[in-house]
Amino acid sequence: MALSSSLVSLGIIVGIYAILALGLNIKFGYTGLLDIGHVAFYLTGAYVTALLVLPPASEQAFTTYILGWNWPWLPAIAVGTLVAGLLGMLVALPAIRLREDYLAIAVLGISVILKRIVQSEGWLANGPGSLRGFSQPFRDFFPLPGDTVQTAALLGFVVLVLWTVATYVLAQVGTERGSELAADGGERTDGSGASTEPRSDGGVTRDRTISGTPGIGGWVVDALLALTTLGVGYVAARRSRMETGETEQRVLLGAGAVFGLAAGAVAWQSFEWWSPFGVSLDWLFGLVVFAAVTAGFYGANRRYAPLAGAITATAAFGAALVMGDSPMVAFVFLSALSLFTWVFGAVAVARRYSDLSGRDFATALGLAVVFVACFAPLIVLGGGSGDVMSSVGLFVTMGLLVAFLYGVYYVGSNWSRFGSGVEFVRIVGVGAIWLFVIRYFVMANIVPFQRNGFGAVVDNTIQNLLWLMKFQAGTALFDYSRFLLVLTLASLAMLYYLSEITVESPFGRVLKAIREDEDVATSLGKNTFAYKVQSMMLGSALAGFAGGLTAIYFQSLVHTMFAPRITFIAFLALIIGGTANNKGMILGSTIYWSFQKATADIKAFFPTAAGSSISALRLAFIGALLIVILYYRPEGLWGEKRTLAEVSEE
Amino acid sequence: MSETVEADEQTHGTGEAILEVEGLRKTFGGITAVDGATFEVEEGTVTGLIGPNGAGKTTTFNLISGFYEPDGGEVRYRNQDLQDIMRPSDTEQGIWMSASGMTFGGIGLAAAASAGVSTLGLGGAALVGAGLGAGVYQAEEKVKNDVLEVRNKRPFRVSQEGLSRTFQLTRELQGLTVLENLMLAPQDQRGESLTNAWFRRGAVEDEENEVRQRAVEMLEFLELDHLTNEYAGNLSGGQRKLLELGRVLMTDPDLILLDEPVAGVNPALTDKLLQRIENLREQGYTFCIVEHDMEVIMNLSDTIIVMDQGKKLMQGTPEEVQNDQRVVDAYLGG
Amino acid sequence: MPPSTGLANAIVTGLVTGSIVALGAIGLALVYNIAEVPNFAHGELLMLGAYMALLVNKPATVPVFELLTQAQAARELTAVGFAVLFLLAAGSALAAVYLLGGMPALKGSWWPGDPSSALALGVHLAVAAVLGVLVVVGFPSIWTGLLLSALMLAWIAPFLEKVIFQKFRAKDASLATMLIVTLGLSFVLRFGTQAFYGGQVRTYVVPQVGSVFGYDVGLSAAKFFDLYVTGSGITMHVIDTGPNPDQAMFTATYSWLAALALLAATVGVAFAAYRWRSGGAEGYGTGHTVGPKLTAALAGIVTFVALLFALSGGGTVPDSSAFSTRIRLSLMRASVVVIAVVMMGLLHFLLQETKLGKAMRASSDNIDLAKITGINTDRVMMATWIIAGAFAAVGGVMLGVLFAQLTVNMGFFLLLPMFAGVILGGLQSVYGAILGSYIVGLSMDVGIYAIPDIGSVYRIPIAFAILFVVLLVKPEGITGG
Repeated sequence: MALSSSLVSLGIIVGIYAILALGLNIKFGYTGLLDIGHVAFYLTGAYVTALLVLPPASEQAFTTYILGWNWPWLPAIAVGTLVAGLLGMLVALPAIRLREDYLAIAVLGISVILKRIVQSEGWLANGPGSLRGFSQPFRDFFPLPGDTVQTAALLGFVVLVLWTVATYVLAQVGTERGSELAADGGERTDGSGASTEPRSDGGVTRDRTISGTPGIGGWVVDALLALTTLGVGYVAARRSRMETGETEQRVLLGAGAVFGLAAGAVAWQSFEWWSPFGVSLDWLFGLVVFAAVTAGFYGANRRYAPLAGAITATAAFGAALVMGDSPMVAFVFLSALSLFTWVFGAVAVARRYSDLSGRDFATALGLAVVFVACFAPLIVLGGGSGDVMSSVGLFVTMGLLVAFLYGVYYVGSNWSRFGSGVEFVRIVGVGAIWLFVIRYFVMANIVPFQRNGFGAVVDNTIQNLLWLMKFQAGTALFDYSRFLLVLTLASLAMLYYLSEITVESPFGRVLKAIREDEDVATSLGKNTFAYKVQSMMLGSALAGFAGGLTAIYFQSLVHTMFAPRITFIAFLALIIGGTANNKGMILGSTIYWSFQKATADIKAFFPTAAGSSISALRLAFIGALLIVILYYRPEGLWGEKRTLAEVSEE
Repeated sequence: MSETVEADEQTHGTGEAILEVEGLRKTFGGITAVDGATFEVEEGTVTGLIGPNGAGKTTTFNLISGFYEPDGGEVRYRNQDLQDIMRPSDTEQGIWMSASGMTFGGIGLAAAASAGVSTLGLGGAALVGAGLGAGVYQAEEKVKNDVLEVRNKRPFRVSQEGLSRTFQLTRELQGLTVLENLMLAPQDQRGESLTNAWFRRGAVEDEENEVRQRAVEMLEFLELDHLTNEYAGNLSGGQRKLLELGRVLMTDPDLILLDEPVAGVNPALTDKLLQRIENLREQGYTFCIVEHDMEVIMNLSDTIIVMDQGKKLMQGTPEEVQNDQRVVDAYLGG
Repeated sequence: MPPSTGLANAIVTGLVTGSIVALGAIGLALVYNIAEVPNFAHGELLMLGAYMALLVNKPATVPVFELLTQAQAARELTAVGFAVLFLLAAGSALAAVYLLGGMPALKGSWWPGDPSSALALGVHLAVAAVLGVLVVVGFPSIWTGLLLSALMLAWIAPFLEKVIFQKFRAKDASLATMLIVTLGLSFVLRFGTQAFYGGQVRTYVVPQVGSVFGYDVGLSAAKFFDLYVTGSGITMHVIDTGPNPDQAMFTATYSWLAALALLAATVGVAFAAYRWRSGGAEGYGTGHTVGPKLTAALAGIVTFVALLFALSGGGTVPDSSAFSTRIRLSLMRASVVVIAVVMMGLLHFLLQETKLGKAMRASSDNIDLAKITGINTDRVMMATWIIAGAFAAVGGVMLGVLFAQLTVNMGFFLLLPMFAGVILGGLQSVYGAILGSYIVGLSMDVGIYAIPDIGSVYRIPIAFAILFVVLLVKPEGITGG
């Protein structure tokens, strides 16, 4: 199995936790509400969604639960989100008046009690047993190349999401270096100057490339970007950087409405969806799709992005209809976009670290290589078997790792002596990227090489590059887990956008004011209580949504999945990424889950008996990590860094 | 230190009392901070509030602005009792009632479900619970208002009515920029409602531009425009005082309570600040100022209220106050 | 037919629960007040305490340390093992003093007066050695385990303050940051312990039978105290269930008159004691330590117990009764209450009678003011952590004894009741926390008994419900103003 599959499952869980962290960020990062019972709302969302989706309990053996209304997932997850939000309100109304530490205890208590209730009340959700047996949305239509309208429509949906997101991020890339750097905690080029000005058009004029690389190289990279977005995305991204007039915006919105209407009609006609009490509600699904697409066009401040998505989606839908069962269509669109992610990722990394010298990159590579080399004894001597040789390997590796960590600590704390003026954290960041590259493109090829030689390496690398496709028995498929990934990422993108417009609005400004000093906000005539309740509701609703996704993803819920440690992980993601930074939530959750995955890899080298100890050690390590980050970098990796130096009085 | 003494002392004010304080009392654990203070503030004037340390000036401010609940007495702003201003609105009561109803309804539903009754029974239990919850809330409110005479504490309502204050120790919002600090202040911004922020983005955007424009003008007025995008936490003490003044002005108040506006501000900035306040008085704003710097208060005020030990000692023009023996005694620790 | 357990039993159980909660809550409240750390890792301190006792009680189940046990018998240590235990105990005692104020503390800087450093050092070393010997001699009793774990936690807790909280305080960390740090710490401690000990549930070896004045007495087996109310009076019948088959220990009958006299005498003596201490007794130097309330309670209890024996008339178990109820109580459980009360007494003495205690009370009221008035707040803070650690250790071991098993989550589950107790007590004073803890403990057990169809899994939710109500109605706590 190619490594891309684990990349996909990683992506899904990262997406879910990023949404969870986004919710927490609204509460804690922006409003300052110390909600250490966040998991309560996650639990609520998950169970409400699951209970609505499930068939009646009488149809299942050995399980008891309430509801079981056989709803489709979309209204179920909506209700789950809503219920979580309402619960957030109910908890908030009495609790929010309390001091922050009391509030923390109160919400922690509520989360513990909710878990206890789910665990012990058998009639509610099968008690201590797991709740399972619910269907996943559109499960039956996968893997994708198929000869029905539905499969074509689903492919169209996937393409729509991918192209919209791709175009959006492409359009979002700033052409000035300064603005990029300010966002990632790097040195701000100047204290208060142009970099924090509201972003003007920043347009790509005729002779500037999106990738920002000067000269011919830039055009090559841009050409690659254009190629991998099949032209449409690239052109739209460039176009959206230019000033768009009122009329143009309206035309775009109109186009969106027309496309939405078409998409809605297709959805309505193609999917048998929901018929409670014998009334077919398929039209409702069409309506939802129409509303969603139109809202996407309405909400986006760069309407060319959804337009690119719409055009490509139509093309993909049409082509899939014509070509029927042939894998070609899916292959063309999805492999192009897989390649796009690599090219764009490379560009993003290059831009983010554009101020690093070659030596810095080499240092980072060195770090990554040494880290990997630490595991050499274990790999060479064999691990996990428990014999003498593997024990020796284990101990040597452990020793090397300790030495490595100490070395990193030593270099880091004396960085001013060795360094080139670049923050050490950023070097470690580059090192982590190198580590990913080594793991994904080098180490993943070791086994194929041992088995089938060089040809297998090429084959494997291609499969890993085209990660949006699953290669199986000589053909390329788009399987269900990848669809879930697209679904999760689409939700994440939507909710991220929603969070952004929330916190950037005057509403968000009031939230921030409450975080800084509630009395001031009150003295300025803001009903802080109402704002805090709304913040709790919104944050809890996001957690509820994440819960709904979890229910779909895991297909089985058990109370142990909702231990207080979930809140803790969300906090960790929040603090790693940087409080009050929505982008940071995605980063934090990525880092946390990458770490989990990496240590899961390592666990395989240890004797199975030590397995539970390793898992526990991992959690202990995470606790320590949290403390260390809070001490050395309380603003997180991407947090706003405030230079609290006095401005001289004139 | 200041050139603001004007030879031809013109009279200000409309003759209308914008604020009336009557028999105000506040005790903290046996210590009476304000003990039956009674005074009026005339619209369009600068009224100074002075007194030795511990005279209860800041406490009075906190009472007038609704931050403290008085133990006795009354504050009337524009002939309206402060308590009436701070009463919860109908919407707020509605939210509380529905929340109470929802909680009890949920409990009823859960109880019925665990007892295993039919769907109809479930609905009935939920309804009964909801009704019970609403009733409980109503009863509780009634008890609070009629029996316990709980005082309402919603200072933001006072500010919304046009009575704004600053704090003795500047409390700027450190993590917000200077511009954001000012943009926060205007009342009833459309974008402060979540639905507008999401669904009426064009309208919100227009208003934001308007507010930003006003804020930029305010910064120019305060001569802080070079700090527009600086975090407020990075400002110097004097700049913070100016920022706080600007922020209060952005709320479009009628009566402004300034608590030691020039404490810790260097002389040059002090002059600037006083100039601003005088300008604003000309524009029709009313000020009530607590200040320790006698020179400042004497130059600025139309009327001065002297407080001692929680009571009003006297009230009069700066000249009258300066020539009053009781004031001298109070300050000398009589 | 023997009577069934009822409200009276729930109250007794509640007192036991409350005692353990109180042992934790005392430390939590002290740390909260003086060090201003809302310590969400306090439950983990209890858990650590419980696991430390295994070193003595069941060394063979402690990884690494098991290597120092005699291979054949699990509860026998090698000489090296004993040496390690000795060093651990003695070293812990010295480490705790060291953390109080560095080398000067070892040389007696915290002593009253101005002792010569050699003397102080010598005394410290001697005491540490005695403690070490005690632990070695007492091996493998659970009580010795209790001593060792209290000693260990007495340096671990202040050590955490030194390496973590002090640093954050120096950076002016907000309360929220502090809280998240303690959450992180709770993870480190809990899962660090799990990683070290593995996932299995541990148990203590608690003696079934103890020798008291030469008589064999069942320690862990329950005694049944059956109370029968009949027309003529009250009969108390005590049954010992182990280690031998059930046997009646004694039966006592109180006529209504005697019962009334008992009650009246108790109340009367208590009231008189109260009056004696509160009125006209200002001249007494210890008037503060043994205040009127405490005197009244002590005098009342002594009177009650004395008269209980004095007035008892022999009798038999009545065939029928208007009301009967049974209280189950083992000596082990009773000892939990006794130990808790003794420790509270010690703390009370410390707070009221020593300079350190006074400094602690002052710091608790207002730490900045205390600093200005020349109190060594650093030392006070360290002392606070030492006390918090030692109390948590005792609470943890007691918890392990009571529930007969140790898991890494045991402390976390007690966290909410402890916080409930502290907040209920008003956060301001240790006494409030103690009172709050007993209220929480009682309401947990009485609640389980009183609410029909409710499983014991809801013990903690009940504690929390009480807390929530208090937070809503009177957030300043029952003793707060």
